[in-house]
Amino acid sequence: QPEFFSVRTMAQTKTLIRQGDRAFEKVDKINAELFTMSYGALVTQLLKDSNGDCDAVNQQLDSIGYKIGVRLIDEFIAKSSAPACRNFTDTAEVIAKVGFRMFLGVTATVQGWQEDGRQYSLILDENPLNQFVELPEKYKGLWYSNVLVGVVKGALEQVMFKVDCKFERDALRGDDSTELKVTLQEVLRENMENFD
Amino acid sequence: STVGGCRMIYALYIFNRTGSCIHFSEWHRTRPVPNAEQRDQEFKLMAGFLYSLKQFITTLSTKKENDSLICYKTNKYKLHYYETATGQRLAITTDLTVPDMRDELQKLYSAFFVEYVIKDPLYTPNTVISNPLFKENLDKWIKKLPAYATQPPYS
Repeated sequence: QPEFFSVRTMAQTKTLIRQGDRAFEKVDKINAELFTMSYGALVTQLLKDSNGDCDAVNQQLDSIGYKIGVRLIDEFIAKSSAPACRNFTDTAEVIAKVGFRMFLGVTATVQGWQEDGRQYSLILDENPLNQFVELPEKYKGLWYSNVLVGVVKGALEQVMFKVDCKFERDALRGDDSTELKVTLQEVLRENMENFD
Repeated sequence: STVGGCRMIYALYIFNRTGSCIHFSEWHRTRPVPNAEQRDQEFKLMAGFLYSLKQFITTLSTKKENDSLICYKTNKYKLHYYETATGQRLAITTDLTVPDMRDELQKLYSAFFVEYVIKDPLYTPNTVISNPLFKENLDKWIKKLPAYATQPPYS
């Protein structure tokens, strides 16, 4: 791991895991199967509406996720006691251990740090969205859980990190794991237009 | 402390990250009611002032970490401030006898703002809040707070 990453020690990660569990307990929950089925129905409908155009559906899932993300971040901040991320590198473990846990019920692992600290990957061993799902050959171009990509982008943008996020691998496509790559594009500055 | 004074909450402002006022409530107003334009001026002034105050605080800060504004006090009122990482800014003015309202502001944010505004599918983020449920429930809750007195102060 690059040097700067040692800022996050094992103890801090353990704290985040605990915070994630506590946050998970606090939020309202719905039946997991209902959640999975609803998402599946959404994706199926999008595929139907676009006549099987995987790229278009990927786009739509991304933008649906974005609209969720810009709101979800406020609930995350309000309900989890996770500390504010002072820089981009902090966001990785907070998203993986607290964010995912709170909203998806599972934690992710952080890997694949780029040397300059502007890119990391979130590895999901378990993805509740793709329970019971099989991806037919003709939809191999689909990133089934692409809504997550949008959520990460939307949420991080509200805390001033403009990022690019995309799937690198998906277990649903036959890859050995599910990997989301998050790349920092820029740190946004406060827009001062209304403060004159 | 003031003779005949009692705990009082005067007004609540909520600003978004770009400084627009997305919500304003007031109780126990004794000054004359301003018209819409004066209102807008007041909001702009308040937003700009809070922003400048924050910048000022950070510049004067004795420590390297970011300092944050908690409250300021004049001889007539106190202003309590709470800002989230997402740039939502809550400011509540109260009389001088009210102790720190940070917890209440936190509660306001999580129990009312997040539940009635953020989670409202009809609400576009960063626009003025028009959800009546938010206003009603917020109002009810504020009026139950120990900091809110039922009698206006003797002036």
